[in-house]
Amino acid sequence: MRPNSVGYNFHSIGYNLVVCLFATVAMAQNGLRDIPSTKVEDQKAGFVLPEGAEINLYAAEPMLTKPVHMNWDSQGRLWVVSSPLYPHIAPGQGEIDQVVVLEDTDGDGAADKSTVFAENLHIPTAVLPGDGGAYVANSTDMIFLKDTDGDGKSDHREVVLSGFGTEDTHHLLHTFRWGPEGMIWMNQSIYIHTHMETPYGIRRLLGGGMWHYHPESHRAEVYMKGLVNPWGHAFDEYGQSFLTDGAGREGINYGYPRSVYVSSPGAPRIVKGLNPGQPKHCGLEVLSGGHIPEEYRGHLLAPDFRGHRINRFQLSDNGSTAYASDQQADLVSNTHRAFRPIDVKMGPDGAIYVADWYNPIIQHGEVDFRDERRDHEHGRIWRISFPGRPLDEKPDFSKMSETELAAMAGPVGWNAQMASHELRQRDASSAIAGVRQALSAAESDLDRLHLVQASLAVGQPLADEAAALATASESADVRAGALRCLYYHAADYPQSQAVAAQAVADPHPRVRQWAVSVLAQLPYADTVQLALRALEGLEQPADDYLDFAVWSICREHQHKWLTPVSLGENPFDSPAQLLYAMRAAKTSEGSDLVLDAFAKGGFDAPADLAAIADWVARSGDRSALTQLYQKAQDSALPAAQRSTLLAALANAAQLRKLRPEGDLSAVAGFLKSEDAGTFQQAALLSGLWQIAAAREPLQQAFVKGQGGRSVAALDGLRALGGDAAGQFLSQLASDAGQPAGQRARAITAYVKMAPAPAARLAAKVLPAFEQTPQASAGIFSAFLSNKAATTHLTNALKAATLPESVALVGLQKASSAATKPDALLAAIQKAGSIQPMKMALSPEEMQAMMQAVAERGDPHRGEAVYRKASLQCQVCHAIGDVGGIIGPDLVSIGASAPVDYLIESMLEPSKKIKEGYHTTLITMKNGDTHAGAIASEDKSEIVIRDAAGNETRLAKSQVKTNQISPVSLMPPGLTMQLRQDEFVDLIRFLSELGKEGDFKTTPVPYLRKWQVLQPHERTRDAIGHYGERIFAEDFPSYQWTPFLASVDGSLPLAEMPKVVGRGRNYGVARTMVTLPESGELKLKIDGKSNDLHVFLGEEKVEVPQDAQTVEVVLKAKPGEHRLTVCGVQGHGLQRMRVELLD
Amino acid sequence: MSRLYLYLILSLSLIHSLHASEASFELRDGDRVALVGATFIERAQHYGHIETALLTGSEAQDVVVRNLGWSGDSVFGDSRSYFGPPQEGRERLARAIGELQPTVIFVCYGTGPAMSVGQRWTEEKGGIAQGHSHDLESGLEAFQNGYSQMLESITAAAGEGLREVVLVTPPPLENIGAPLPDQVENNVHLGHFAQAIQKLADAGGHRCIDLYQSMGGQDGVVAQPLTNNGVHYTDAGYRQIATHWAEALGWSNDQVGDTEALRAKTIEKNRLFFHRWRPANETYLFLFRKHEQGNNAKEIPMYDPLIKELEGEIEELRKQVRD
Repeated sequence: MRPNSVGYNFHSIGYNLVVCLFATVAMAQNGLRDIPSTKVEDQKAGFVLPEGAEINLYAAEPMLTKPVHMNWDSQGRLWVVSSPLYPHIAPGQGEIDQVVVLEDTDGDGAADKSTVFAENLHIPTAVLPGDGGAYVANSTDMIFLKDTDGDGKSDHREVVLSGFGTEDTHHLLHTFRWGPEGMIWMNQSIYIHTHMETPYGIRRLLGGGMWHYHPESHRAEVYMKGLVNPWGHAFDEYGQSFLTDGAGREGINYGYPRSVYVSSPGAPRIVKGLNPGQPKHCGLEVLSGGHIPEEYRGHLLAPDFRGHRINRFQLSDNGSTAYASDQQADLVSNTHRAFRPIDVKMGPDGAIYVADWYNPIIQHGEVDFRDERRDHEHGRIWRISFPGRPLDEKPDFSKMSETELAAMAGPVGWNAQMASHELRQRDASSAIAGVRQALSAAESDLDRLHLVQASLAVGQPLADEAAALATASESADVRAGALRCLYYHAADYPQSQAVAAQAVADPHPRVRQWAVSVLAQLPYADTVQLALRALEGLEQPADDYLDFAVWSICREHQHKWLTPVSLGENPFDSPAQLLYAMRAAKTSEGSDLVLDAFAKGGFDAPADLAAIADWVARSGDRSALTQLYQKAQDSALPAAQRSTLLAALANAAQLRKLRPEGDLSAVAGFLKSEDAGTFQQAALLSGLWQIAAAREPLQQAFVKGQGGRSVAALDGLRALGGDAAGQFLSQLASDAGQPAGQRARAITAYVKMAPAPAARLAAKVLPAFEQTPQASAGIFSAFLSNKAATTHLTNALKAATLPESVALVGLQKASSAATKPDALLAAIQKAGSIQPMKMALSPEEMQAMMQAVAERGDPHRGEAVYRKASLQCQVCHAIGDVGGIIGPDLVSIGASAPVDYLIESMLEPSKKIKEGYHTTLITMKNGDTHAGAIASEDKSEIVIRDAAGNETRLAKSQVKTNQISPVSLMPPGLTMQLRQDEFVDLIRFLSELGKEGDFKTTPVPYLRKWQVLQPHERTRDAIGHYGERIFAEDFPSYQWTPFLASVDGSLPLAEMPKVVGRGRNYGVARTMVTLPESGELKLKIDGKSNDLHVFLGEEKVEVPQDAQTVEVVLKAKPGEHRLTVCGVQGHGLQRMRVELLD
Repeated sequence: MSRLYLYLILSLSLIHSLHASEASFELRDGDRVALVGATFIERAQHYGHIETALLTGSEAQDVVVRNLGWSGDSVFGDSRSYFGPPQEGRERLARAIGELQPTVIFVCYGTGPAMSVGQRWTEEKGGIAQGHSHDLESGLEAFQNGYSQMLESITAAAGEGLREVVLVTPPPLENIGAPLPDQVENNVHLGHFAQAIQKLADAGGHRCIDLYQSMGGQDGVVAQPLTNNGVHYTDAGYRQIATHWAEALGWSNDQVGDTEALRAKTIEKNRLFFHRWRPANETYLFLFRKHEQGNNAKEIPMYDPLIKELEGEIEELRKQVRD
């Protein structure tokens, strides 16, 4: 426990809890360790399966231990890497990890033979049989192991690739899979930095991403970058890649060349996964083969090792580059806490095989390497089959001709994968002859595509056939898949450019993306000209994946198009395309061409205007700014566009200290604007440009203006600065007649201008916040955001006294500051006479606490505690896809994290920080500090996202240091306001999240994101005239606040604001629903129907009476509509829940 | 003034304290030998041939060899940098040298940049000027500057006990044929890098082991490939290289007996030393998550006695071989 970690005891759980629990310590010893029974039958008893499915044990210890990854060979043997050493080898321990080969020789569905193929490995994380041996990921190396004397044991070992990082052993090189084109695909995770010397030059991949390696030519290339833990990869029928992430939270990710996903270091732009808010996964497989019931076939299986279950997703084409991915009911789950499915593969008999890492605790980022509860001995392979259906026949590949193998080959399914793999190992000329023969008999374009893939696998690409499919197939999926076949050897095929030139105009955006990907491989001069056409002439605006591909090639191939541009020539079809390329490459080369077109009205469409404004802000010179300012003064310009232009000018002034030429005082005229955006930007610009005439109107707007207008005026005043501003602010802050929020804002602004006097003023004024302590939070934050200002406040508080309530707010802010301001903490403590309290629990206290959680914690009450607005859990954390994005998603935290970890994280948030959630602390040259997560980064600026989700753009030239802070963004002491029983309930609730039971998020499409109506004077009487319909109106002064459904999807009435209507209390919630083309949408609503009122828009929806659950059909024109649901409180209606039915 | 030039001046002034390349090479009792380089050096640890040749080439007792090679590394320290810029990689190398306090250092770099002409081979800012200058000439210049800077840094880190820094040119590339890429041009490039190394050695008064020339130079080796991909040497390749290495030091191993047991033991020791100096989970042990699991860092020095014990056995085997 950390001696320096302090909390503050103020009606806190701390002392009371520890003292009360201490008495039970002696008794607690036996009940501490929540270690489930290791017996196979006990684990098996916990499985929950769909009807018709059965699970049996295929293999377990001692046949294998700790399986990490597995793959089949074409003889039907299962190769498994097992690592008892994980997570870290200990001194004196040998490199003893294994490759084990399992075999079911009698076909009864259970392995009866286990051969240790190798037993001298160091945390091997992938195995792939092939080429007469097996490729194994062995820490820094990919090695090839071979049995040369036929005794079943490897006796030859060679390093194939070396230079993979080992910075974190759950990030090591992993997820090997043969692709349909005969390459080995492999991934690495976020902390890994790989430096590889290949026969083609040095290759480096810093951070997560996916590689492909071609064994014959020894070519290894990076295919895509990012993802935190891309532990799953599968190909669909067309050969497209899908990945899962064990720590990201976007479910299935579409992997295409050069795509960049979350967490890739220094990435200025990323694309997103297909299922935001989904659980985290390890492994990915396509359900295939005749044994699998039809309704599951083609679905993706993604093991959720935290939640002890395997999720299922269905992909469909939604007309965009990527796909729609819909979560279905789980394939399997288990109540046994050590069931950790981390790989899933279809087997030779058509059954599903699941590698079970078997461990009550997972990974090692947050749980000590040497934690005793970590299991090093067990491990299981489970087999899921459907006994009512015939098993698949395993072909004898050795008896098949090349033509037969070719006809069977493909990316999906055991037989298809093994056939292409077998074919690859046949004599090359017979193999390609077989492919050609099968091609002449092929009946569909999909078959032809598979044969083209097979031609790659045998080393003789049929590029003409690929080109024909890419340009002429009626299936967009085939066209895209065929382009992918051309992609790998694009530069060797003379027709590549012509094919891509046609495909950039394809009706389907995915085909266009692949055309751009092919172009990115080519050396020719006009690749970018062609690629930019991919964004033109689509029915919908280009989706983000396609746009990313085009943006990416504009950057990567910039040397090609910059040459003509530097000679004053636009090589593209339009000035807008040139601007697009310039913005992508962040260059100002070409400004003259663009500004010339701008002057002639070439960018007047709103989207074009926004584009040019953004570019001028980032890259424009003074004449460009002048031109933009002139445009902003055009009286014909709509207000929204004017405010966009002014914002760009403000940006240039802030980040680059650049302003237009000439007299700029006219900007103060816009302070009269009714438009909030125009006023805001004009206020800021008046300050930044030092327009003296603006001072008076800004001061007035600050004092008299409402909300946003007042804040904007303050920003302007602050930028304007000067003694006058300081005087004005300090007077206002000292004026007890002003509202607390206004006074706080005045000091906050003053800090930036004159930190020393501001600190003295703060010490005087802060006591006035005794009754409204939360209003003082911004003052502390302002001082904390600059190192010198922090010191000034520290000094000023030395002689001051603070009310306890204000001091506590200050302590909370200061103790979650990345700068670790110890002196300020001490000063606030002293000023507030607050006794420091140890937040860390001793081992005995921790044991007692864990027992209390197990015995007395009520997860249902705990959920209500979690949802309390004052705790702010939901502001930062999501459960599933509902909630904030600042902290880790808690959807399966209970299933993955031990209880002591949860308790510790709550009391001492900085002690264990989830990967990807570390705070970056950026210190500017002027002493300002910014803490948060890096949202994006390029060569000139860093965008940082703070705990409140606000993004700030920082000029890199102004950055002094940029370091990872050991302090969590989660403030310590958030739980101090809780009673001990509430704390215990809260922990119990968290510990149930993701486990089988009431607190597991299901894929049922409940409506989860709502707004609730706050009490309003209008409703009391108006209801008598208009009925409940008044709740469904968009009445301007109604206040609606966000409200999220509980884990079970319901809205608890007791937690909703009570809206009064003629003596009754209502809970009123609204959300948006989208009606499909049919104009009908079916809903299921749970809750006592007599107390429910439902409205679509303002139209009442009839609800059948006297039921606990009703189904209603909404009818309206297709598109978005507002759905309002109100429940009458106090007559037995407890919760309302709305589900979308198909 | 280029760093290269500075280095040359500096080296010339140090020439008296370091062995002049004309004198014959010797190892002394208790010498600590560091091998520094990229993939070629790193992979040598799996085979043990070079180390065995070094141990058995002279009468010196209790010599320890430490392989500090790192795949894909550059003279700028790219591979050793983990989360930071190459600068941190250079610092890491200097730290490792500082801990070992070697008396002799063998350095071998050059394959990576020679293979990557036209490509970006280092993340070092200013290593190669921005733009399209990844040609042979600018690559060579960057390489020489970086090499000089690195020699300066490790010489300083090694301390006063350092007697000699030996520069080694990388062994040539092989043109094995399709579907492997043609390496003829790259091998010519590598010859330029070998020459640059030779020049650095001459100017700095270093002994140079010219593996590039002695293993075949521009002619390459094709009849019986000694690499598995044209670049990376196999067991048989390293065996031959070890012989050339020893010969270049003026040694003959004709009198030495069967060294296989000794070689196996050095490989075992190398495996242990790898966990000591390049442990997995660095993020938790020493880097930005050490506040979470840095307590486990105490295990790492526990390898020292285990390594020492193995080195005792290695010394015994060495004596047997020499007798």
